[in-house]
Amino acid sequence: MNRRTLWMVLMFASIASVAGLNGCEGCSGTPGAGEIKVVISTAPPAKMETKGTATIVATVSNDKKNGGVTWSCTPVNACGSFVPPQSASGANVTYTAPPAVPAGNTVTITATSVTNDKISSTPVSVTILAPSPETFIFDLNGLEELNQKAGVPNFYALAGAVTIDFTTGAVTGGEQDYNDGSGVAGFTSPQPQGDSITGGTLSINSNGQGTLTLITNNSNLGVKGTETLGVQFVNNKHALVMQFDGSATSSGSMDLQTLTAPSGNFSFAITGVDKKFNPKVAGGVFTISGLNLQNGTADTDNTEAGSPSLGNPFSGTISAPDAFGRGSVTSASFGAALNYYVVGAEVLRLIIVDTTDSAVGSAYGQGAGPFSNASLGSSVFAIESNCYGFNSSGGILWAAAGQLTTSNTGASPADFSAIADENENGSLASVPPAAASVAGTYTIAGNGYGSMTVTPTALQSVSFLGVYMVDTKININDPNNTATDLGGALLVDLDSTLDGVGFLVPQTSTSSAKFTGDYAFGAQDFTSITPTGNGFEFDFVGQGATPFSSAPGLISDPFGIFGKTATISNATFSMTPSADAGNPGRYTPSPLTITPQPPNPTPPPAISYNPFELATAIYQADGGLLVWVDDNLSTDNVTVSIFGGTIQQQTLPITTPTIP
Amino acid sequence: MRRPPFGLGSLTLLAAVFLAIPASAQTASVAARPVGPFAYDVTKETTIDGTVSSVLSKPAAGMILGAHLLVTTSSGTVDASLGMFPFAGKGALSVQEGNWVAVTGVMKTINGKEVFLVRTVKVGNEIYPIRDERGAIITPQERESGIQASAEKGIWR
Repeated sequence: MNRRTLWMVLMFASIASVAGLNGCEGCSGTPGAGEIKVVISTAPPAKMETKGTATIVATVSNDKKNGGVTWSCTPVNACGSFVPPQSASGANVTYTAPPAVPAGNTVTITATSVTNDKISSTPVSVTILAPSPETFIFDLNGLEELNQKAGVPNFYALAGAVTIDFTTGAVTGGEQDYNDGSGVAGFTSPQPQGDSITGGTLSINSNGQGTLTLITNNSNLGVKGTETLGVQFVNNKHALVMQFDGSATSSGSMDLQTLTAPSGNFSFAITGVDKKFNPKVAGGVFTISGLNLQNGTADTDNTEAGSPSLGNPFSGTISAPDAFGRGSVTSASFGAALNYYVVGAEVLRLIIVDTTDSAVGSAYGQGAGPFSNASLGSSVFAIESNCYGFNSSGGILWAAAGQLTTSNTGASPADFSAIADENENGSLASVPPAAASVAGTYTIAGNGYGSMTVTPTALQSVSFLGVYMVDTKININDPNNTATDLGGALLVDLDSTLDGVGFLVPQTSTSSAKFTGDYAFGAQDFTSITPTGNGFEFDFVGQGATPFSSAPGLISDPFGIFGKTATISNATFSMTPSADAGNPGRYTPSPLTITPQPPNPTPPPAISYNPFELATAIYQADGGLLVWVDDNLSTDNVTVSIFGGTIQQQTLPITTPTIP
Repeated sequence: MRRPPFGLGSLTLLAAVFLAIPASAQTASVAARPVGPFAYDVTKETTIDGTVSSVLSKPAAGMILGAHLLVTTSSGTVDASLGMFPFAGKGALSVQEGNWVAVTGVMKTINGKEVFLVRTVKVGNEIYPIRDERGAIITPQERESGIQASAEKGIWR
C-alpha cells in the first residue's frame, strides 16, 4: 500500500466513524449523528418527600435495537425504586423515593442504554426531604357513653383538624369541636377557641388499619382527655374513622386537607338533635362570597313542629379560616352557632357548637352549575338516621340504600324509578332477598336545590327527600379523589315520622367484575338496648379482598353488645357478595358474619363474645364505591339491627400522603 | 261606611303574596302527611286497661326496638311499646308486674304483629307521658331539664 492509498483508507475510516457507518451501536465519546443518546426527558421534581412518587421518562435516540433503558440510582439500596426497572424509550416509569432520608439528603438517578451499557443519561439529582406534617380533617357522630346526665347516653358530634408527621406517626397539633348538646360543662368545646390537640400518635399497618390517638386539653373527653379513633385508610388521603376508646362510639370520615378559603356555591346537609334530644336534620344551598354567606335556602325536619320546614331563606357571615382551616359561621336566620373546617376548596365539615343542641355534617361546592332535572341520572343512594332517630315522631332508627334511574327529565316534575332496601326498627320494606320497587317524582332547580317525592308506603315511612346537587367534579365520600364517583347530591329525609341524611352518586358500572380487589368498609349499627347497659350503637371498620373471608377489622362497642370489651381490635368479617341477577348493581350477599376475635385464637379469649350474623344488601355505584344496608328482620332480640355504610376500593399499600 | 283597612280582596292578595313560593322552594304538602308503619295519628287513639304481666326493658323476639309492657286485658295480651329509655332519668316510668295500668295510644300492625304505641301510662293516680301527640318520644333529657318549646328564632330552632 503506497502512501496515497494509505491516506485514502485513513480518510475513509475517519469519515465512516463520524457518520456512524462503522456499525458502532453507540460509541462513547463525543456524540455523533448516529450514536445512541439517552436523555431523561421527564425528570422527577428537584425535591421529593420520603416515599413520595413521581413519573419519570427516558428518551433514547439512534438505538436500532430499541433496547430502552435500565434505571439506577445512588446511594445504592438507599435511593428508592423504579417500576418497571427497565423501560422502553418514552415509556412512563414510577420512581418512589426512599423511605428514609439518605446520607447527604440527595439521590442521583441515571438511565443507561440497554443496548450499550456504556451510554447513560446525564444524572439527575433529587433532594429527599422528610415529609412535612400533613393536616387531616375528621368528622363523626354517634352515641356517647360518658356524661349520662339524664341516665341515658347522648348523641354527640365531633369535628376537627389534626396534623400528623408521617415519618414518625406523631401528632404535632390540631384543634377540634366536641358537642353532646347536654349543656353539661366540658362536653361542648369552649368557644371560640375549641379544644386544642396537643399530641398523639397515628399507628397503622400497611393495609391502613390502626388507631389515631388525640391528646386534647379537655380532660372531660375520651379517656382523661385523650381520644382514640379507630382508622381504616382507603388510600393515602382518606380514611373511615370511628371513636374507639370506650367513651363513645361513632362513625365518620378523615380526609387530607388542602387549606383554601371557602368560596362559591355550596350544598349542605347536617344531622343532630334539638334541645329536647329529638332528632333534627337540615339541608339546602348557600353561597360564600368573601366573608359573606348569602342566598341560603334551607329545609329542616322538625320533630317539635311535627312537620318539615321547607325553603327557608338564611344569610350571615363567616370568619376567615385559621391555620388549621377552622372558622365560624354567624347566622341569626339559621339560628345555630356553627363552626366549619376546610377540607378543600369545595368541601367543608360543619358542626353546631351550641351547648344545648348538636349536629354535624358537610357542605360541598356546586361548581359552575346550573342544574336541572337532567342533572340527575342513574344513581346509587344511601341514607340513615342518626342514633337518636328513635326520638322522631315515629320513633324510628332506620337506614336505606338503593339505585334509581330517571326519566321524563324535560318535564317538571321529572320521574324516577328505583329498587331499594330499607330497614325501620327491624321492619323491612321488602322481604329479603327481594328489593322493594319504588317510584316517584323529583325536581331540581337551577341552584341545585331540589326534592324527591316517593310513592307512599313503597319504602315504608320514606316519602319526601331534600336533594341538593354537588359539583360534578367532587367525590362526596372521598373529596381528594378527583377521578371516580364524581358528582351527585346530598340527601335529607324530610318526612314527619323520620329523619336522616345521606348521599346519591352516579351509577357508572353495574358490572360485578368491577367489584373485585381490596376494599375498606365501615358501618354505623343500631341495635336493641343491651342487657349490660343502656346503649344501642356499635361501629366497625375493616378491610380485605373480595370475597371477604375473615377480613380484619375493628369494632367500637362501649355498650357491650358483643361482650365486655369496649374496643375490639382483632375482629374478622366474612361475606360473599352474590350479584342479584334480576337487578344488576345489587348484591344479596351471604350474611355478614362479624366475629369479634380470630377463629381458634391462642390462647382462647378470657371474655366470651357474641358473634353477629346480619343479612345485608349492597348497591354498586362502580367498582370504586358501594353502599350497604342491614336487611335484617326483627326476629329476635339479638338481631334487631339497623346499619348503613360504604364499601370503598382501596389503594394499597397505605404509605404517606403524596405531595400535591 | 269606612272600609276596614284590609278587605277580603286585600286578604286574598296578601295570602297570594305569602303563599307565592320561589321557583326553587319545596312544597311541604306531601311531607307533612305521616306515612309508614310507625306514623302516629292522634285521632285514632284509644285507651286500654289491664294488668301488667311483663315489664321488658328490651324487646323480646319479634318486637320492635325499645322497652315494652305486656298488658293483660279482657280481650287478651297487648304488646305496649314504650320506646327507648322510659325507665331512665327524672320522672321515669315506675311500673311493676301486677300493676293495673291504663295506657293511651294507637294500635299499629308492624311486621305482621299488633303493637300498641303508647302515649301515656297511668299507674295508680300517676300519669306518665311517654310520647307527645305527634308520637315523638319524651326523652329523658327532656324530662331531666324540663325543656320547653324553643322561643328562639331561626331555621334550626
